[in-house]
Amino acid sequence: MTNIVAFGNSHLLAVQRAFDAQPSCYPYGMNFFLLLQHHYNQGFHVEGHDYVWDTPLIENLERAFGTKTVPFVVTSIFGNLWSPRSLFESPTPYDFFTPAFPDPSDNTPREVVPLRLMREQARQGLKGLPPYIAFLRRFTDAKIFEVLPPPPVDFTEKVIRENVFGVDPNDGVRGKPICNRILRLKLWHLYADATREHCRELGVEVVDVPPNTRDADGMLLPELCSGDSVHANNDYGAAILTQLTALCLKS
Amino acid sequence: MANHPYKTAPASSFWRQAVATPAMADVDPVLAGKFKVAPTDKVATAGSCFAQHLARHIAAAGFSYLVTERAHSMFDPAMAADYNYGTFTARFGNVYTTRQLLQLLHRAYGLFIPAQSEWIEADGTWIDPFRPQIQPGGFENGAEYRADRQAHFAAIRRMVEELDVFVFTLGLTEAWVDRRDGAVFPVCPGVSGGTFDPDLHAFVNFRLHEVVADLQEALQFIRERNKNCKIVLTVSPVPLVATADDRHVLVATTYSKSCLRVACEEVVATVPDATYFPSYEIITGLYTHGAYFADDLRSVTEAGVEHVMRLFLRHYTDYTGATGSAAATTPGDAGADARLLAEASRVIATHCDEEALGRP
Repeated sequence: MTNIVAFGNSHLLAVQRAFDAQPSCYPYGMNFFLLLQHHYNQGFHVEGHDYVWDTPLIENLERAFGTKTVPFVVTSIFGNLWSPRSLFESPTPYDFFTPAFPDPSDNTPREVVPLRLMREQARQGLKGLPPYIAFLRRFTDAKIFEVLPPPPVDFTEKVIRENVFGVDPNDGVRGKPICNRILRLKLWHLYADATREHCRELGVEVVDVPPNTRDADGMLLPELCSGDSVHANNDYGAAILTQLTALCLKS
Repeated sequence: MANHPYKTAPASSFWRQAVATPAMADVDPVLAGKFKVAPTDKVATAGSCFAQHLARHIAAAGFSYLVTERAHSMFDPAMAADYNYGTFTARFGNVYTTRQLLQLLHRAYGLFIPAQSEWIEADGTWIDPFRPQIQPGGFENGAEYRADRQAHFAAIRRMVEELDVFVFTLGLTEAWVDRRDGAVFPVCPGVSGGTFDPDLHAFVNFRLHEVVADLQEALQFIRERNKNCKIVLTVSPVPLVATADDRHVLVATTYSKSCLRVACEEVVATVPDATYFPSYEIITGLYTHGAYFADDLRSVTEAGVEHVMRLFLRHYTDYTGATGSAAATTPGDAGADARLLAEASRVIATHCDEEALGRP
């Protein structure tokens, strides 16, 4: 059986759960490595880079890649920069116009910032991430697919507050204004485009958002949301697996 | 022996004592500043590219360098600098001629609407004809361009009404204008955007009386809105990169700089609280043997800029610190946005870990 190693952030969880629910539906086995904060913080060393990652992760990856034939790797590591940027309203509300979104996000007076500067910032943010692909290339020369994060959901401010800020009722973030919904969507598109470009440069193929998972505005369908403003559920994970299967077969 | 005025003239009046003999760094043609700039005075700059150096050093010396058009605080200062935020007080780019300055002020106040308000390139990029190099690649679309220009004009109005000291560096007499309404382009159409059309675009080389009249009108325009502001005029020592006149570029440069230098003299004589600061002489004076120019004989070296700023700070301020290599101005305070982003990252990271760890 063909094997796929999946390596990345919490967006892979929906994929993992979908796979675990019906593994026999897929013509491959999958081995998941989810990156948590402590992995980011500790890191491991890649020649020419400053990052040092933790040893157990390396050992596990060595086992995963060393004992089996692994033609494909699925990652979800570049796409999450948009979400912190789009969580709160900036102290100086801003907006930007794109060909797909040529109108203001709302009626709030906003500073219009250059789209090219926004793009540049997104590009630099991606380039500033740890060298994940170089890290994986230490273990394998398999084809790598990057799963984009799901687009934002059209949740109300109340739901975001209850589900994203719900961890600690005394957390100071609870009083802060939430980013406008259209601006969130614009930011998601901006960072998704930057991720596609970044992946092209790295020779990584992107697994895009399945078209049937979005509403007319391009937002994630409410029934595919995991319950917060960032993650999708297992049904969305299954849609990703369908796309991934097609891409693997094509490859 | 007969007495005469030179008998009692100071050393600074004599070429040998004031120029030929002193060490290069000691030559000081300023003598005395006409007024003092306080650290709290808001200093605005505009003009040719030499004015950028002045802006940089004024900020680095701890003076209140007025920036009315900042990049949004979420952007890294170096990235924002590439988009010319903080290069001058507002994001107007180089203002080479006095006519351009006057039209800029009029445009900001809605008193002049040029026939050519934008250039739309074949790829859909929008270029501002009056600041064609203000950001790499131009503007993405019309909505962004119009919003940016509106904010830009508001920033210029704030500059005019809030500044305490206006430093303007005169750069050129040559320009390209729109034949329809005389709108002055800072760069020849077709060079950094737009398409050159000889039926629409004409070359002009302003005469002394035009430079003087435009500058007087521009300064009067500012004074009408800010009656107590002080004016510092300088002439850029940077030679023309090219002339469109039918003569040698060296001759064209000499005309241009001579004209601008005399214009300053004329304006200072008629506009109260205006002064000429001799940065041109400090950089180009024979005492330097050309040492303040780089190998291209155009670019001014950092040592030259430091000499200029040392004398400016000595005579026009009570500043006692050292001048040195000044860093680029910081276009904005990234603090608030950076803190918010860090907080958002913490919330998201915690949430993602919970998701990954199987939050019910």
